[in-house]
Amino acid sequence: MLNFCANLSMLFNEVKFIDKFKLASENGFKGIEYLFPYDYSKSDIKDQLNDNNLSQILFDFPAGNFAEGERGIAIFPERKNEFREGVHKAIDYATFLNCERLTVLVGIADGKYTTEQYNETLIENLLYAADQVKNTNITILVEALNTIDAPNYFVSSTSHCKEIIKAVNLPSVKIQYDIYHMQIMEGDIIRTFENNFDKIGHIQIADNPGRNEPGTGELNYKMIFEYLNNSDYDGWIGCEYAPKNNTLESLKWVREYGVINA
Amino acid sequence: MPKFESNLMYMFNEFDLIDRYEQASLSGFSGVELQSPYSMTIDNILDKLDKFNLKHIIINLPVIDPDTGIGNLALRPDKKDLFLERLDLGTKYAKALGCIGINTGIGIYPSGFENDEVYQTLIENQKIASETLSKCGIKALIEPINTVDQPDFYINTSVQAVDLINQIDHPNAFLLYDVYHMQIMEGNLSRNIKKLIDKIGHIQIADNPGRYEPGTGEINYPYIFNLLDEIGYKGWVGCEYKPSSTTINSLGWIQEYLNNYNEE
Repeated sequence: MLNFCANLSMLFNEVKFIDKFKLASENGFKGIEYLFPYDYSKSDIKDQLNDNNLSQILFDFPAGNFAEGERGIAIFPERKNEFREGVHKAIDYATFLNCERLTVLVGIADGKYTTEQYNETLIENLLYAADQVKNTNITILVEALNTIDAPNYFVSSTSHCKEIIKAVNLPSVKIQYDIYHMQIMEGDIIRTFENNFDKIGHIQIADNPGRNEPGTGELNYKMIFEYLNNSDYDGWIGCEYAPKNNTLESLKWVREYGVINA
Repeated sequence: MPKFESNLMYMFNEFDLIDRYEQASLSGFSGVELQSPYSMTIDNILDKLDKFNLKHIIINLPVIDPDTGIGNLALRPDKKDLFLERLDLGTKYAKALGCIGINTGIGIYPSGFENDEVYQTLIENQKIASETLSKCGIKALIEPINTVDQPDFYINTSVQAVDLINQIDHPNAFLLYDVYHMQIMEGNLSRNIKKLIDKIGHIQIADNPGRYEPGTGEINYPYIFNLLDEIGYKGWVGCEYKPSSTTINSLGWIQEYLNNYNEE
């Protein structure tokens, strides 16, 4: 049985953010994820989760000025303090919302430092974050992005993710495997998952090209889900895609997997 | 719809090689490809093509090094003469059989040589192959192969293959884009096929993982086939996959395409 959660940063854009929880629930989702909760009060979000019987599966650490194109700050030596403040804020929200996964967007390499310096800073920041969650059940996830959508994003392959995870060497720091990003960057989706099974803490999906719902691109998600269903993966799969027409129409595929509208 | 042809090394293994032509025809194919036709005479093959109304789309150059048993003659600085002999043999077969192209075969890195020397040998051999084959109207095809199945394969991404083609700098040098190999090595299939379409001289397919027929793995082949139509690919698509059970049972996916094609 596969656990799909709705990504509220990309689904249900027909309504305001705070009204998406209800729609996710009405459409049969038991869990939700999104980029950031920080524009809203903890209690407002908790009310939405409780009222709609939803689990908060994942969100991201503060990642700089996202609207202006930043995709994380964890690689920048001069922004360690900002990263640490963000860690505390994220853990505060996550604890209150019973969220067990927090994703680090690492940042777009700006050319001011060497690859070694970016790596060192990232690892140091991850060690700090891991130390802050050591008495919680929170897992910290590192996500590779594709460099077509996010040019110069510093971590853009599973192998780089693995290097980082290995250097940190803590069970609370894992890979977020976004199949859309990795199909653009490296392919070989099923084998890569299989080879890194014990290091993957969360999966996200969208088809390629276009980042629309499964069935609209070059990936055979039916077979990928069949494989995952037969594997020992018991985590969540985040539906982080842009609906091709509208959200309700885009959810047809997920009905086959037990996500049924109320 | 793309024109599909049958790879006789991978398909119809239930039969002797020479009898696979008939089986391909019976299953609705109008074209075939075969890596190594050299155990059969040209006349024997022509007889089959004529009798079963088949086109022989591509063959491979015979690039096995007699000393090592490894198929990397094109990379060996010490065996350029032998490569040329084999090019003559391959050209003779391809010309007689009416092939549209020859897979020139790259191979795994030969130990004991400097990389520069190996690369220059490959470029030199490929320049000659492109020129020789262009005189017969046969495309010189360069195929990157995945390093999971063949570790140390020298040209293993479309980026490397295009670099090589640019170095060869001959209008008859083309990319053989094998969707299976490229899914293992780089993904991003649709975008790359679109980008490279002018340089693609032939396409081969299998699903991943497993190299079985379309529908058994992570690639959405109906989407890829539609894309090939959309961008106006006029070449052939070689079914170079291992049937997951028998060849006949592996052909369910292709029926709509073969029927459409044969009605045209």
